[in-house]
Amino acid sequence: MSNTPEPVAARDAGAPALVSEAPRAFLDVRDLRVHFPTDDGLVKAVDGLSFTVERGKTLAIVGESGSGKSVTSLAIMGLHNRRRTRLSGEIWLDGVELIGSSLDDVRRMRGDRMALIFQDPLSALHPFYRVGAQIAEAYRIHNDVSKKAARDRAIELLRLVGIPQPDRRVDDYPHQFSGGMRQRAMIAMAVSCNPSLLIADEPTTALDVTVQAQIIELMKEMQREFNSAIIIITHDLGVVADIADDVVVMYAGRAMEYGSISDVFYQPEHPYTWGLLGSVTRLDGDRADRLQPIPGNPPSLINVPSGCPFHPRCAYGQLNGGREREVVPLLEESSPGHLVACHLAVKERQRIFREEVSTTL
Amino acid sequence: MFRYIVRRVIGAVFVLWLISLITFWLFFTLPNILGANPAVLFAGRSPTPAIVAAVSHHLGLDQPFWTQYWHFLSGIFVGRNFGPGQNCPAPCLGFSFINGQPVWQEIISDLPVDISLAVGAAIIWLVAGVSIGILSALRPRSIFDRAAMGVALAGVSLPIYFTGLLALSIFTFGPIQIFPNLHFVGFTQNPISWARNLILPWLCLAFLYAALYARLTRAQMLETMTEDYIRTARAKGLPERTVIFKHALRSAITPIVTIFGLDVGILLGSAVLTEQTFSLTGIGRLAIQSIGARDLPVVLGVTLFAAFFVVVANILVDIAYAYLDPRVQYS
Amino acid sequence: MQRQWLIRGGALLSALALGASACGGSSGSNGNASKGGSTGGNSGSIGTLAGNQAPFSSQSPLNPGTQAGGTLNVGVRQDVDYMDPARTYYGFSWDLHQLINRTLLQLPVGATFSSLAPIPDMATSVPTGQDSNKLWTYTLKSGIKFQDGTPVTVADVKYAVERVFATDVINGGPTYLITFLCPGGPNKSGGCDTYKGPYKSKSGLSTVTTSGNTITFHLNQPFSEWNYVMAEFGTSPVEKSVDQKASTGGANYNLHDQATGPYKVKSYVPNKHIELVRNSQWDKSTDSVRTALPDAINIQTNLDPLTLDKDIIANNIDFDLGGRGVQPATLSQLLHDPALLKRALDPVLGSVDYLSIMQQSPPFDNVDCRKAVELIVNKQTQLDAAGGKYVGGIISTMAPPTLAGYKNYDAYPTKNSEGDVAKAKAELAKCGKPNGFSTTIVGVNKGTTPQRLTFLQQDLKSIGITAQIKTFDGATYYSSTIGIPDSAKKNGYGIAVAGWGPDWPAPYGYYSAITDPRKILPQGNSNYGECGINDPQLPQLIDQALSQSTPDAAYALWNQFDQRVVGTDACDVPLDVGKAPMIFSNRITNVSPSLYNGVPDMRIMGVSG
Repeated sequence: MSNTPEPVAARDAGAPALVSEAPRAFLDVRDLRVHFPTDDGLVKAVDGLSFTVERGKTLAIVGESGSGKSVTSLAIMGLHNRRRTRLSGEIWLDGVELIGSSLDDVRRMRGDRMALIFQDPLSALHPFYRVGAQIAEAYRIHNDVSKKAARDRAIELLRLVGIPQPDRRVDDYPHQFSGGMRQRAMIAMAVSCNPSLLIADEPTTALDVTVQAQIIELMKEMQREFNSAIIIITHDLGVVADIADDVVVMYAGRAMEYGSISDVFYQPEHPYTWGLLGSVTRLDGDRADRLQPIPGNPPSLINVPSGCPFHPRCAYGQLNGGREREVVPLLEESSPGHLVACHLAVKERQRIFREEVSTTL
Repeated sequence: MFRYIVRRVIGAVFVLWLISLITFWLFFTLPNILGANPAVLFAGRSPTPAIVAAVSHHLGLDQPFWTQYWHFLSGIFVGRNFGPGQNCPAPCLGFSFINGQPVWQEIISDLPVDISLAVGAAIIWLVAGVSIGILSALRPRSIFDRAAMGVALAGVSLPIYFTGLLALSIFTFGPIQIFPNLHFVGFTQNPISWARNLILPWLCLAFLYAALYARLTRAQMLETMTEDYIRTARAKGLPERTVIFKHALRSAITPIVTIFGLDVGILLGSAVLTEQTFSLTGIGRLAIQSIGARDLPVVLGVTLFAAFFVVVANILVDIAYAYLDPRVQYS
Repeated sequence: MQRQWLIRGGALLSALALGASACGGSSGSNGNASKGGSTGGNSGSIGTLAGNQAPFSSQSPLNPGTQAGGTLNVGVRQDVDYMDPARTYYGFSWDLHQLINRTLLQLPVGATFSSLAPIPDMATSVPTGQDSNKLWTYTLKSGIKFQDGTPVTVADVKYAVERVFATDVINGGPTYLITFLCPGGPNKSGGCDTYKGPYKSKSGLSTVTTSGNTITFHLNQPFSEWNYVMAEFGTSPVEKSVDQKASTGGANYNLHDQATGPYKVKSYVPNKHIELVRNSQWDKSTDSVRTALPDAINIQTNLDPLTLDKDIIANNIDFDLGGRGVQPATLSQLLHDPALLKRALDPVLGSVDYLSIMQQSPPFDNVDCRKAVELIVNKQTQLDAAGGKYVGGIISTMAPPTLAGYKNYDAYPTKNSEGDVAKAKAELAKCGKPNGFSTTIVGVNKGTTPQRLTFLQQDLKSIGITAQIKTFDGATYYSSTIGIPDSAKKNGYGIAVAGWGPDWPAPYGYYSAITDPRKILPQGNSNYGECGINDPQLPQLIDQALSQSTPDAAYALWNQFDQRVVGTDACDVPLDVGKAPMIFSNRITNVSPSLYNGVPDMRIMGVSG
């Protein structure tokens, strides 16, 4: 995260990754780019993303659909089809660079050092195999133990995630679990090998509100138990507020704003973040107040708007005198630990937030 | 599950009964519509009315429809007595009008041909078709995939009598005589000879079905590979081979197994073209001959057998499905 | 050529036509028939067996040889109807039965015969009829045994004859025995009220008497052709003890036939195969015809026709017992292969294809309208429809040239037998329909018949007759469609394509069912067009012929009969007599197509190597 702006031609947004520099965090993503060549053109799903996460900490990645959140998590896990995806940048996990590693090495780390929790546990669990068997399978792949031992482990994990009568339920099929129970089972499977990185992709979206809170609590508990780093991907800012330490706001495959919860939630400096916060309902809000959705549509990832990708929808874009259409803003430090990618001057956007936006939130 | 099976079996019995009734009725009333006593066909050349009457009485054709049908139906369970020395033990399907042979025995003696044909071909096409389908699905649009699907298209389009005659003209009567003088040999008689004589019909039949199954497996696999749980399996760190065979194939195979059961069930009763092409005396051929000769008891017997196989296959397949897919509940 | 299989329900069986002289009928079609070989009495030399038409082999028998041993491999396209001699009616089945079941008399072998009259088999000699052909006595040879060693006596022959009367159990075979031996005559439906067979009647059949080793038949009416009936299998002896046991007799005798011939049944699997092995109880010195060369005979039934041809060419099978001829594709192959032709024959069969003019459908009740049809049919195109010169030959008589007493004539001569529009129109005018009329012409829906009907339709159109074509399924055509006289009348069927072959090569056996008005049946009728229904002279001629004391006298009357049927009454239009190209293996010996149905005669066959 350097302070000197780089020439546009050489780089897009994102910190210049100094390849030779040693990773400074447990998970260090540098200038990640994930491009998909398709018949319609090159889809730039993620285009220069950088962030870090420490063990025991939680990073939330928020944004609209199509902003590149899930693609990022799949890239970290190495689940993209190398033949059809162009990956560049670096992903350092506990000292190992993943993009440059062999497929087999990455595969060995999957499920063991890093695990992924999916959004819809009903479709994410194999319908024809018993839940206990699926959990045991995850365990046995990385640990050379007997079937009995693996089964015992599965029961233990089910108990850990709070499923009652785990010794009976271990032989049930996924469709015999309720939605919340299924997600717990999914989590049990994910943590079976004590992963140091846990990625949760919309883990509560498919659940009831009451169950959501339980799942979030469970995840916090797992974090305490295994001291894992958590990346939680969501569009639900309430969840973010509940569990996250840091937040990355993504748009069109790039980070718009990156910082701690207090920075991003209470001192947001990016017009997109303002829009996201403004579109959240508040219990204590006035009933007469309208929700303020962000006008316009998410951009095409093939033909990303020139300059700042958000400029077609930004209410303040024209204040930059045309620059917003030509130059890509870099992610730069606004205050220590708080990075923003916007052409507006720091003071200017702080002023706008104070005077115009915060009152409406 | 038990109650479900019982219900299905009752339903099957009902269907078989209905089929027997309709077939019986068709052959009973149709000749009367034409104005001819069917006994005329079995009474020799230029039969005198006395002979026709005697034959008609002998065959029981002079009795009312329901009486005849009742005799037939009860015969299946308790056997029938047609006269001195002509006792037909249960299950009795009557005697052939043409040569007076017991229908049950005639069909049972032809059945090994169909069973041999169906089982052998089925194993070959299942293994070949599914393997090719999997390989194609793993490399979609590759050269292998395109070639395999092209050949599969040929297999599906070419009728058995074409491939059969082609094979015969090369390997039996033609330049490369590795299978001369084909005739059916029972398995218990000589297993080697049994297999040698059936290889050509097995391969020709399997070619047709393997093509279907390759296409089907490929489609199922392609679809299954996009499922979320496949992604989960990979996320767990499973080797790709395990993902394909333990997770993807397990799901893809379910509809294939059900179709397989039905195909074999149907094939058992009606491999007519194959039998005709390779001069195999199975029940398909028996059916054609007896229909042409208006040999009612044999037609009825073969029809019931064929229907029986299909009905049983249906039930077995449905039960199997419940075991293959735990989400399916038969309450 | 409609090579009709002998099936029950009134189809036909093929008889062998001969008559061509030994110098070979190379002109094929017209040659055989109009040269007409034998005229009048057939006691003179008929000439050699047909099958000598170039380019086919003219050897008679084909591939002669004396080597014994080996297994004869036979193939046939369908199964036999019955292995019970009293119940079988298929022509090829009779050929097979000759090897197993002996009869009082038998027909001569084609290659060596000098006359078409029967010769002895179990009888010592061939009797002449006494008491104006009502009394026939035969003497049984000694030394004939059943396969279980029991000696055959005349009582066994009588029992066999009695058995035929039990029509509720024993049915399917010829019923001449009932017609002529029913005491007091048969009833109106053709059944016998006075004797019901050995299972029901306590006393025996009174019209058959035995004394010592002679057996006498007391017919209820004169019948000059009785000896031919004695060559049928109703006289094959049956052991009463076997037939009266429930498990082996009655309908079960079909699987327990006791052989008297050189072979016995080792196994019979219906629809699959029949295996014959030597009958050690057969004494060659009692049998003047059968050579019993092979050690075993293996018959595969229900074979695919084309595959069967190929198997014969490949020498896997020795011959096709069916005797219907090869498939058209195989014929092409034969004609282009001189090596194959050396082992192929093209015998003339005894079956005749003809048009039956249905007198029950106006205006065909008028003889002149019928004569118009006789004069307009183009027999050349009909032969083309049949398949050409290797498959048939044009004739102008109802009788095939192989019938005993055959005499050729043409009542409606036209140039090249192509029909004559002017002459036909003249007849139309005479019957009051100078501008023609409408009718329906019928036939079976496969084989060569549809083509025949098309040509016929064209012929009729040329004289103003508009004919609608209707075709029917072969299984019920003969028994129901044209076999029910009232139905034909109701539906207005005017002309029917039909075929016929005799039960034996003598006039009554041929003409009776198809031209005797007294034989018209309500169902399964074979006199489709009700021939003779308005001509009392026809049945008179039949009765006269049957009571003649010499064959030649009878034949003269039958000749008149034929001319009356075609020339005077115009009942039927004879089209062509059948021929069948046949292929044989390279190891079969002594092939001689049977006299009365063209089926290769198994009584003298052998295999070499």
